[in-house]
Amino acid sequence: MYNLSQKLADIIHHDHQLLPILNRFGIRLGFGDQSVGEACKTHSINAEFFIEILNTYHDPDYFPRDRFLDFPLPLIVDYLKKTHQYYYAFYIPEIEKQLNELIASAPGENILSLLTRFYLKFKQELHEHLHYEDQFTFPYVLNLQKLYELGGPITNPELLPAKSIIEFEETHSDVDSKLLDLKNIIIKYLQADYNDNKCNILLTTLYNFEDDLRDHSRIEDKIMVPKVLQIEKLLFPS
Amino acid sequence: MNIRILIIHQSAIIAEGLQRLLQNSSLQLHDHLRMFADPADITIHNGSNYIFITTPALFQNLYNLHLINFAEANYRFIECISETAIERDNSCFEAIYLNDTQNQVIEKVRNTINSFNPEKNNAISSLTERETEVLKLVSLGNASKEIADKLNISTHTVITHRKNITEKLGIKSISGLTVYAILNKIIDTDELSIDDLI
Repeated sequence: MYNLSQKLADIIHHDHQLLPILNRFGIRLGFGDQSVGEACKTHSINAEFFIEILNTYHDPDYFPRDRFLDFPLPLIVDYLKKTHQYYYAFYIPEIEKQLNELIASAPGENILSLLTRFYLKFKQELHEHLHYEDQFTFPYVLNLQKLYELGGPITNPELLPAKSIIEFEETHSDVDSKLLDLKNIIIKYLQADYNDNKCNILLTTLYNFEDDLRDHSRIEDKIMVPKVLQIEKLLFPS
Repeated sequence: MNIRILIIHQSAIIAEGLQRLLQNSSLQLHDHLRMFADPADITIHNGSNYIFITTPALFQNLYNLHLINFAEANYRFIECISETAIERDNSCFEAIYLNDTQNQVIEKVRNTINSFNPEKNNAISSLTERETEVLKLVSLGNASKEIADKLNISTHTVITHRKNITEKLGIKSISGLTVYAILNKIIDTDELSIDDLI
C-alpha cells in the first residue's frame, strides 16, 4: 500500500498504470523528488483522497469503503467527472484509432470490419451513458448536497426530486460486458491475417480501459450511490 | 478459471509467509493472490470465485461486512490456525496449520481450487446443436419468447440455453454473439446486411 511520505516518482516506477490518475488530479510529470504529500500540497489536492484513489487503482481487491464514505460528495463527483473527460479525450478515440490501424494492416480481411461495427455500437452506448451522468446524475448529486448543507428535511414539494439516485444509475453492466466481449472475440475467435503487434497494442489498451472503467464504476456504485441514498433519506424522510 | 485468493490475517508474518509460499508454488496464481490485515479493506466482485485464507473470526467479520456480495459470490474458506490441536471451524473447506510443510499447504490450496466445478474446468466449450440454433436466432435479433415459439420449447429453456452459450463462449452481449455467429458462419451474411445485425 502506498503512503503519503513515499516519493511520487518511486510509486510511478512501481506501477506506471497510475500515470493517468496523476493527470486527473492535475499533477504533471517533472515532480522531482517530491513525496505524495508534498505534491498534493503544491497542487492543492486532498492528499488523503488522492492516496486512497492511487491505492484502489493499484490493487483491484483493495477498497476501504468506510474511508471513502468520509470524503465529501463534490470531491468524489469531481474525480468521476475528470475520469469521464479522460475517456472522451483519450480512451475512446485511441481505441478507434488502434482498431483502424489493425484493420489497415490486413487489407484483404473484410471480417475485421465486424470489429469496427461492434466497437461503434459500444462507443455509442458508452457515450450515452457518460453523457447521461454528466448531464443529469452529477448535477442531481451536487444539487442534493447543496440542499443538504442548507439543512433538512425538505418540506417544499417543489424541491422534491422526480426520481432517486437508484434510477439514475442502472446501466453500468452493459457497457462493461461489451468491452469484455470485444476482448474475447479478438483473443478467442478472430482468425485473420492482421499485424500481430498492432493487435497486441489494441488489446493492451482494451485491458487498461477495462481496469479503469471497473475502478470508476466501483466508486460510483459503492461510494457515490450509498452516500446519496443516505442524504435522500435525511432530506426526504417519507 | 478466475479464482481470487485472499489471505486475511492480522499477523504480518503469517500473511506474508503464506503469500510467499503460494507465489513460489506451481499453482500459477500470479496476481490473483492478495493479502490483507483488515476485512474492511476488501471488495468482493460479483461473479468471481474466491478462496479466503483466514481465521474464523476474521472470516465472520468479512462475511458480515459483505453480506450482499456473498450471496452472489462463489467462495471457499480455508481456515488458518496456529496449532493442530485446535478444533476446525465447521464452515471451512480446508485448514492450514502453522507446522504444515510447503507441500501440505500447496496441496490444500490446490484441492480447494479444484473444488470449483472440476468437470467444467476441462470441458471443451463447443456448443451443442440446440445451442447453435438458439445462438443463430439470437443473432438474428429474436427475443427469448420468439425463439421459444420458433423452436417449440419453453422460454425458460431458451434462457438456460442462452446462459450456457454465454458461459461457453465468454460473450454476453447480443451484438457480440452476432459477431461470433458471423465469424463462425452460423448466420449467412450474403443474404443479410451486417449493418442491420450489429
